[in-house]
Amino acid sequence: MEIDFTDNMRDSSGLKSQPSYHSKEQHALERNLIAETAGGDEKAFEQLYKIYFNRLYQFIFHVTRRLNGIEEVINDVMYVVWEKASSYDQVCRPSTWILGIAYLKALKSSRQNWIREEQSDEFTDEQDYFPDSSASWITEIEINNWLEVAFDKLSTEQRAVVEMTYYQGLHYQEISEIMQCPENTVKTRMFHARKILTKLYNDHNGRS
Amino acid sequence: MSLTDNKMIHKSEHQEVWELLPWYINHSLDTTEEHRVRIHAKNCIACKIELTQQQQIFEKVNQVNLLQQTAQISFAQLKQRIEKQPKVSVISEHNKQRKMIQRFEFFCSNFFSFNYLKYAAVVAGIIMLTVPFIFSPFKMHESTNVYRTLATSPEGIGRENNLARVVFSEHATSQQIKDILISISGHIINGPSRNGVYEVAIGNHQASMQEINESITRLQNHNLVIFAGLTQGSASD
Repeated sequence: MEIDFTDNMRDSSGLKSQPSYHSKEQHALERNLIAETAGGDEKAFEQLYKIYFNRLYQFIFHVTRRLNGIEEVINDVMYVVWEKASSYDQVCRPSTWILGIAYLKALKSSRQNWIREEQSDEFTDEQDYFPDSSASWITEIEINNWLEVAFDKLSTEQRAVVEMTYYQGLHYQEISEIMQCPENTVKTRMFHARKILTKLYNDHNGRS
Repeated sequence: MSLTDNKMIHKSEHQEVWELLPWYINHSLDTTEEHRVRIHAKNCIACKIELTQQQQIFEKVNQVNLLQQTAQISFAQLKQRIEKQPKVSVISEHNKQRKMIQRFEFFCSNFFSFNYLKYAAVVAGIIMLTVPFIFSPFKMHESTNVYRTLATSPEGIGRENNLARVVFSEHATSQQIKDILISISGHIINGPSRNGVYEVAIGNHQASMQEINESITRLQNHNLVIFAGLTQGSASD
């Protein structure tokens, strides 16, 4: 299956335009594809896979902050979609259902990676894990990639909220459904994440 | 309604709007919520500033190409991996490489400083000497012609002077084997192997050849010993 990785969501100014994830037509198309997938239609499933690949890639990357194994997690998510398509109730949005599965899979992957790192010989020494302060490249990265540093400072849950708000453009109610937590928890997570993002953004602007 | 109550309501309104700002920016709020935020932000300086700032962050966040981001993360992880390497080993690796380069340079300089023809003559001589062996009809694969006996040590020959290979009768009990070995001042080094071969050290390293041979003879004459012989390549050779 060939996936188109081209980023075609940019407008002339270079800024990403909001993808048409949220149009009624898009939801109807996705619902239809899920229904056809439930009937065993592989072509429909492939189309759904292509629609969601980039979205899931970005989502999982932002939640786990890891590159290795993203495709595996995507395939795990889409395997569940294939298996459980017949149980999709058509009530919630297709994105809520699929991103909900992706969120749980991403959390699981994060935990597994964390355990693996804990058990790995390479990562047993905390001293080794954090480069010494004399390493100048760390500072360079901090200056150049404030966003990466900021994302690293967020918890997995906070990252997930930022990702779903600023990248996926979801409403807090949908996020609460995906994360299976109260709406106020979503708002609080975003509140704290915003504080960190703002601080680092201002620091970065001050330095540059 | 008292002034305090008014303040409380106002504060609560501010807090609620403050929390909704990210979703105002991503245009996911419903009409009522959107209107509420817009009206409040018009009059609230703090919310106005925060809205501008979050809008900038939102734009910055979305300006970053995913591939760029992944490349940055990937590079940061690689750098961490490099940093984690013990510095000593890195230095020694560099030294090794430098030494190898130095040796190569030394070899090259020496090679080209000698008379090239001399080397060519030596190489030609070697080739002429080896050609008959290369094309010899008697050439055999060593691996297929290895002939090994019970007395041949698989690990190599001549490790010790006093090593013998012994096969006991299958009726011999462990106590009997022990008694036989005591009688020749021997002890088991290895075994039994899958074929029932024991590697036995007779006496100690100072044991004379005559003593060892006598012990071997005694073993060979014992009715519970099927085979006894010095390990090939030892002193008896």
